[in-house]
Amino acid sequence: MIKSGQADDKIVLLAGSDEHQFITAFFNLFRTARLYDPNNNVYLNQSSRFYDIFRRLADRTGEVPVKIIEGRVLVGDRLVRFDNDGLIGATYVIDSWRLLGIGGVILGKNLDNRQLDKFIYLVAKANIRESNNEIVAQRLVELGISGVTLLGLEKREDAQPFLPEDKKRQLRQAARMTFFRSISTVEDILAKARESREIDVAKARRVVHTLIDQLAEDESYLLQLTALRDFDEYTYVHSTNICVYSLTMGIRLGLDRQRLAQLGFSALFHDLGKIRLPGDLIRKPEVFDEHDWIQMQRHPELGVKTIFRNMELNEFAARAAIVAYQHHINEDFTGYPSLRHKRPLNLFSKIIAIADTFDAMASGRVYMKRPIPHDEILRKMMYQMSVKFDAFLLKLFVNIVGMYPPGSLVLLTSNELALVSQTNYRNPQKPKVRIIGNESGPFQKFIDIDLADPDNAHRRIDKIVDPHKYNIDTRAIILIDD
Amino acid sequence: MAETSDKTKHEITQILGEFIRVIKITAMYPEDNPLPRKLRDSFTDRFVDLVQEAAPLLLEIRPNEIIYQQEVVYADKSPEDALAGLLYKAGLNGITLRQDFNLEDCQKFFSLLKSYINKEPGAGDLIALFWEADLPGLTYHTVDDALLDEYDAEFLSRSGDPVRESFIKGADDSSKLEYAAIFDADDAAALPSQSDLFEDTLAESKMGLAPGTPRKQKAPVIDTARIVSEIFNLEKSDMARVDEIIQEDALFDPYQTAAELLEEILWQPRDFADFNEIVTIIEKLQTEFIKAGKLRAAGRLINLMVEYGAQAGTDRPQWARRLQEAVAVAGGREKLSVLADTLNREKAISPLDLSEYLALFGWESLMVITDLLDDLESQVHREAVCDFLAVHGRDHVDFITRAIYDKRWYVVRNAASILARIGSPKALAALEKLLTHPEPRIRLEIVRRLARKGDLESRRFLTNLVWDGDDLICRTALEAVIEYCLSEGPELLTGIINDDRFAGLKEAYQESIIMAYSRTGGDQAVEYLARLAVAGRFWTTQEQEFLQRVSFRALAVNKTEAAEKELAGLARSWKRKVRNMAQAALRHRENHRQEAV
Repeated sequence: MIKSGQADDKIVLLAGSDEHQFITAFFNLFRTARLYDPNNNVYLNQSSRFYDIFRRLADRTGEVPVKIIEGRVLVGDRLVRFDNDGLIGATYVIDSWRLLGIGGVILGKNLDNRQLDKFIYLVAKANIRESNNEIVAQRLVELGISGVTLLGLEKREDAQPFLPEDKKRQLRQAARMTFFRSISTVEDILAKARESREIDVAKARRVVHTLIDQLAEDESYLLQLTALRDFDEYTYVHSTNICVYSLTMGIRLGLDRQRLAQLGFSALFHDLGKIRLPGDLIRKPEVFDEHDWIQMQRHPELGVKTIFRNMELNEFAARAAIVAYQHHINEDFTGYPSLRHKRPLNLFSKIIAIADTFDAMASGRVYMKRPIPHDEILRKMMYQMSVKFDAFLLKLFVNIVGMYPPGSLVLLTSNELALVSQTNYRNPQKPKVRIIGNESGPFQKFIDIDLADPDNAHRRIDKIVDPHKYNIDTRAIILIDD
Repeated sequence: MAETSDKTKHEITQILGEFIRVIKITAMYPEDNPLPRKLRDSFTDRFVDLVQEAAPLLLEIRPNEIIYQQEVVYADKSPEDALAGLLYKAGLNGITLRQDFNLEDCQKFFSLLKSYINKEPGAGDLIALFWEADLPGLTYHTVDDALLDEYDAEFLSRSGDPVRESFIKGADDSSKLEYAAIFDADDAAALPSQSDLFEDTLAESKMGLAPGTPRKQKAPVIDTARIVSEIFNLEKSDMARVDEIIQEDALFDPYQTAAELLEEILWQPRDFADFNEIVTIIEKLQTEFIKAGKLRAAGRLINLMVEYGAQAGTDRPQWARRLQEAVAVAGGREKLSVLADTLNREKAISPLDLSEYLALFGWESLMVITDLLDDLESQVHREAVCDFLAVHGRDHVDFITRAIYDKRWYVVRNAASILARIGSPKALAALEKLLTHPEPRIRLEIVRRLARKGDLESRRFLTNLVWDGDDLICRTALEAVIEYCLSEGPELLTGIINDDRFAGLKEAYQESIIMAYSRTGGDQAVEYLARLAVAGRFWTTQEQEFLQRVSFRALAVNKTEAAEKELAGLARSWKRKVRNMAQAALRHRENHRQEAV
């Protein structure tokens, strides 16, 4: 029997060393099985080693599900990161499974050595032209391999997106709902804080929980929505965006739920000090002068004071306070405020500083009063990364937003105008895009495609287009749901 | 079917009815106590069985009742037994328990509720606790969710239903021309120029984002291919860095961080109002640090204020006064009472941390610190406070002396202990008032404390306690005096022997004193012992006989020539008994001499 591998996939945490060892040994075993017969010592040694690792994991978790979703490998609900070498090995197995229509396997607790070897050879030697997941499943039954359950890709055609359309729509709707609810709640919290200095901590935590749950479900739709910078008052959207970016980074780093919640909480309140600055200054359309800057540079300190005055001291408050204070301080201690003691910057401050810089530049609403195209922001940030940002974290951030962050407007070599909808982390130059028009004019029906798909080989990104320059309202494109 | 359903509802009612009671009972005992654990286990077993039978179990929570399948299955009984009210106030309006809600989840669920009800630190938000626990079989619905549902409708009307062409702003011909220009390969305006991008040089310099880049100079263009290869491949070293980052972050200490931040912002203010706000925040956090038992961090804040106050002293007297005030408040009764509560709750707080913390305050706090002794439950902490006062109260004995008039014996004992440790003439004068205190534990504390001190004044004071009616006190005092005299001379022993009350002491104690006197008193002691040895020329009392026996044993250990001569003389006595005892003493001396050789 083939089960659906997509029903409740959640990517919450990064795999630990056990899962990493497990998947590396598992994939190696497939590759070895292609080259050697089952009695060869090379295979036997690897098989025995893998079986030990499997048993250890199975004893702990009961069964071990391995799923491949959008090219990402999950062991249980943990996402496996591969280094260069590992990725090559993994790609081989992922591709061959995909061609067979296998979306994953569940290795049951009752799987023994003999069943394992039979299964490995069954899949490794399967002829992809003549076989498919149905045939493999049938053979599993015939060979008495009861310890393995296949997970299918359902009726997936290579050129089609992985998820069925209704599931995608559902996810998009949920992401939108979460995103706009978050903006609304942030608005409530900050407005209340501005009026009475009271901070609704519980409400803020609820927002963060929802965002984490949504990101765990699918990060791409929320990341796409961060491009809606004009939706509401800048501060609220900006705070929500920073929360989304930071949480995505936190998830990639493998932070546990509690620390993720703290990271999101800190992100929401990173600019809290601004509620104590004059509204005219925050909304000032012109470039800031020296006097404006003197005031603006006080917001980190005001943020700390507001947090400490109004919140009970705990990890949430302390983390929010340090982020509020440090998020404009660069790795080389330039920026503001100037520090009396130059202690290493806090991890959350570094993460939020990167997200904040990116979003602020992209919005052109504060500091630099002009939106800067995404590629230019990344280029600038990369140029400065060795001294201004934590190089590794910036690398991680670029991995998330991609060369062409969601919301970027691009012109394709096919002379089509498209909006980037999702980063393709395995092939960053070829993200998923929504084609919205061509030389003849805007399309009546938008086309969602994956530039990495071989069918779209003739389409490449030619250049990034500045939507402001051409009066293109990217918000309308993102919100249209086909 | 209806019967099963009724049975299920009945069981739900039963279990919900017992919930608060079981939690309260288990909360009263330590986790490892078998009795409440058994109660909890049998309760959670029943709960899980119920969920398995009725899953999915949807419970609607209302302000005073819980609804299952549109029927009230639980209603709050009293303010103390109000599960519905408790959950509703926490922000929940529904709970769903599914088939996969297993025993482990149930125990976790139970323990979260317990922490919440008990108001344990960090457990003030039940929904956050549920979310963090991530129990697979439990979903919950919040009051906030319900409110936001209304917002969704509003959002949908705001976002509208955009028309396909509406992404081009404006519908005039110029907009269409702008759109067409996108596809014009020669349109140099397609990308903004570098100078446009970085025109706000003031912003860049304030944000520190232009390291040595001359104005208007382009940021170097990084080759896309290089970014792709360098950025998108996480290398092994990157993965190791992730682990390192996570481990480093796990050491995050909110108290240390808060202290460091306050240290930074204290130096930032521009006017007194601003400064005053910061000091107020420091005062607030200082209390929170104490409540959390973080005495080192709390002490750091005091030091910070003292240090800043010293610097501000001459230039900004108003600021310095504000800080002095804050430090005085920190060492005041209210804050130290918070400290006492914390110490009683967290008995593991190190006495060293406590002493170091108390040492931050001036003599003004000594009186309050002395009073602190009344409230402390842990002996370790009381000892630490006594040690502290013994060192820091030396010049302010009056504050401590006040406590010896307290009605509570243990308060008096603590004061006595401190005074004894100080041991100054003033302290000893105060202690004299306690020599006749009816509570023996106070006198015992004095004798024990003074016995640990090696100075003459303390030992002299101890001679007063040799006459105490309590045997333990008497013996302890005596041992201390003898120990002192064996090394420092017989003066104190002479006083005791010459005291009229000497004969009233136990014989064993008299003997110890005489033996010690003989060892230390030299020729002077021989003279005294010789008198005892021949006492009662014709008949002797029992007491004289005792002293006579002791005197010969004492002469045997007296190393002077006089003792030797005296014994030799007595060995020739016409009294056989005296002669025998003297000869035995001489033999003892001889044996001893030979052993020494």
